[in-house]
Amino acid sequence: MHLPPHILQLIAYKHKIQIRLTLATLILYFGFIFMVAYYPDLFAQKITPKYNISWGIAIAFVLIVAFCTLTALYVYLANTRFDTITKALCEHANKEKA
Amino acid sequence: MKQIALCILSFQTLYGAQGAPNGLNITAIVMFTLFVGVTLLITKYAATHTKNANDFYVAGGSIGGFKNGLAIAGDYMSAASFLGISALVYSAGFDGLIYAIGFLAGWPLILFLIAERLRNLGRYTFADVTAYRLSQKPIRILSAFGSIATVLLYLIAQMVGSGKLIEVLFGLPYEAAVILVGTLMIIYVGFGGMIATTWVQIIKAVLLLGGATIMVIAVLWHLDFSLTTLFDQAVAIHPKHETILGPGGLIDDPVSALSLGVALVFGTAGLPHILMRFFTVPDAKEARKSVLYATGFIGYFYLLTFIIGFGAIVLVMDSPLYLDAKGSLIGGENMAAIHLSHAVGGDMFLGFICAVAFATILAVVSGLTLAGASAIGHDLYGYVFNNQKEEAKQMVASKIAAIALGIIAIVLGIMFEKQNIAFVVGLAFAIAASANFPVLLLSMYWRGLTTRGAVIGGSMGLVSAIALVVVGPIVWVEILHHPQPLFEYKYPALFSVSIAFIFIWLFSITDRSAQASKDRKAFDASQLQALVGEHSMPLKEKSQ
Repeated sequence: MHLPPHILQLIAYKHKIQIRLTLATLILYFGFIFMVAYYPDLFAQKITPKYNISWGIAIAFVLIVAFCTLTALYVYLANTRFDTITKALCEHANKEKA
Repeated sequence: MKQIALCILSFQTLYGAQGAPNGLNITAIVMFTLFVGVTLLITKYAATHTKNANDFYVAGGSIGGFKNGLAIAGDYMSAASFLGISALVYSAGFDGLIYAIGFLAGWPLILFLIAERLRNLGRYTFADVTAYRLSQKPIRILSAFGSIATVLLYLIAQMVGSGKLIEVLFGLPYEAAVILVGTLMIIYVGFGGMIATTWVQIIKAVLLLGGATIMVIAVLWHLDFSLTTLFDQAVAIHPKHETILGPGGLIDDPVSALSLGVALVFGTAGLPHILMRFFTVPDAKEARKSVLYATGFIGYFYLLTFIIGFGAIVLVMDSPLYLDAKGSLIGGENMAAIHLSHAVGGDMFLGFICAVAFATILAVVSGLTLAGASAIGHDLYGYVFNNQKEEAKQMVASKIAAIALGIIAIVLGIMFEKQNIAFVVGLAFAIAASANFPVLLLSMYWRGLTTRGAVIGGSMGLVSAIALVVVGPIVWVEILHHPQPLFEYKYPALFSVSIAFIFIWLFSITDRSAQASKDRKAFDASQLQALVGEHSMPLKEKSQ
């Protein structure tokens, strides 16, 4: 099925977003694991001497929030931009059928 | 001394698993009877509303994004998450967060890469998607086997865990507990299908999230709502003091860390009972919403389990009420959250949390059983042994499979009572990551994937995951008592996933068969469907 260039562009844009968000997640996640494996002492350090909260705990909390934020970001982009791709594809498919 | 002895005696039923039920247990028994009663009523409702295969497998595709998100969270958060992670935090502090992050990290990936395409391409099982444009029979066999292997392993872990838990909490003998859980799951799935399973999971999610939230609020209330007080006191009380704030001995070396990480993040996207939940929504947009909600619930939940673990250090570790003669927790390490519920809320709250733990098990085993039954009835019976058998007959096959799986689960649960099964869930994730995920991902996105490549690579992933665990330190040395392991790492995923991808790639690009060209051409044809799905398609036809 031949798709017109503007639709192909939209699809490429969607793939670009998917790949970037996936890479962001993987880098954050494996970065965290890498740090745990190679620099555990850095993670064990307290963020300030006064409080018993380590960098590890703080970063882990931030990471949990970050993952949730990335999912929200994707849903926002999908609702506002990707759904127009779907509509465009449908219209194109219907025109082809006609 | 005498007072302490009296206190310990009065908790004997809960903590000694012997003796007649007393006032302490009544709350728990009442609450779990209530839960079972409600779920059986729901199953009756579900049975009358399950008229065809579409209802049985995916609840007619009528579950909205928010409800499905709750159900997914209920399907995913097992007793191992709630009790196991809080227990890990209790004994080692920060290490629990490593697992929590691992369990959460797969969800963004599911959203970005899997959820929408899966919903657009498939109907009842993820094998629908992997086999969409490839040759049906070989791919269905591979995916169904991957599903069943994952499901059975996960079920063993759940049954043994539930037997022990119910034995400790309700005083039932182990075998009775396992039979009870197995029977209930057969009823939910065999009679109520996806509708009943979904509602059991939703109720469990609400109870679990609600109960854990109350527990955290109660813990913080005890500590004047100060997180700093929580950490200060935990560090003071715990024998390892400040070292609990950083990574402990959980991860021995970088390769194990990486391997475990790979298993958790990619395995989540290959779990059949999770993937099947994406077919219960009307379209891709609702699928995407469900992952958003599920990720939020699950992330929130892991934050709670972390605070619960630390709360247990502060309120349980020092209290002789919860420790046995040797100073370790009564009932075992996994009881940390249970004891904490008693410490902050007395007998009533303890009863409630025990019932929640029980509900948690039922929700997960129901999902697993339905996923396994779907693979057997829809994939194997419907497509492999027949050529697309009528759906009504597939449904019957699945119901029979649900009963069979329930019985097998009971038998395995009883058989493995005394075994060290901690590695089993890790192996389930490794198989999901090595056999299910690579084939699914590549079949949706890579034009070059051929049937031969998928079958060979996927099988190699499956076999290598199992083999590396069998000859690894846990099975070869600890269980089979050889002096040295043949494979030195506890977690095989880094290697088995790599093997899967490499061999899928290798045997696909070198594939010059006629089937291979069909596979590649069919990819082009499938892309429109993948992007748009059946529901958005014939706008013109709808208006006629």
